[in-house]
Amino acid sequence: MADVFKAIADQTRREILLMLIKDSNNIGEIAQQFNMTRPAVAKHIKILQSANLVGIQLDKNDSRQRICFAQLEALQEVQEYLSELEKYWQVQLKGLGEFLQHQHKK
Amino acid sequence: MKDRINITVEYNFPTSVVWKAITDKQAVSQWLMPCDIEPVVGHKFQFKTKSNLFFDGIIDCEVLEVVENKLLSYSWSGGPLSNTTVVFRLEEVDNKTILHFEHKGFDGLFNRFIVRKLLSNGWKSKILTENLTNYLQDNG
Repeated sequence: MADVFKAIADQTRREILLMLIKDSNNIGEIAQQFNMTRPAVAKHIKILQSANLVGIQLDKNDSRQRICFAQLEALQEVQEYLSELEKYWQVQLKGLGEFLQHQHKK
Repeated sequence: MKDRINITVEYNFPTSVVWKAITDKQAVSQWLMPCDIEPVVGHKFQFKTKSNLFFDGIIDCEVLEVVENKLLSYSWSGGPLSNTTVVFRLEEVDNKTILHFEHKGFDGLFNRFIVRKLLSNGWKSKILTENLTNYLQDNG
């Protein structure tokens, strides 16, 4: 995993990674947001990709564009946590309904 | 990627009744968790519960918005969640209440998992890890 070290040691790449975690983007969009040239962004993306932090796929809507996305396993953990938390709230809010019914009967 | 939780529920009671149930500390303590909530902006309170997957016993909250019978929001920090926000928005339709519930602000959670992931990848440089952690926290 030496590549991860190298990939994250650079502040611009950390920022690009954080951006991709929030939303997938193509290289042109990243370049625009960071006020960088496309080749400069592509170079950073290549390093992130070789560290398995970022994946690239063709844009389904525009085959000329390639979409970059963050692919941390950690993200899956976060999504699982959020989906459990959502279930928790659904149960609690259902409980609120039962509480209201119960109060009303009194 | 989904970054917030949204749930809509309908209750067969007017908003004033639901409002009381989400702002009265005795009511909230019954249907949610023991707490000392007050519907006053700036009021700090805690939920106390047994540790579970989501929380580790105490949740620190501060009331952020109060619009009687319409809107209640408070911050929610506990366990892996730091400075998230819970919002209850009430809408009255035909003497019934539609509750629009939202829990948002999970950036800190994302960053925390990322830092852990990076550390677990054997990244040993103390200076860099501390810098990154600080950086992520500052920008979370």
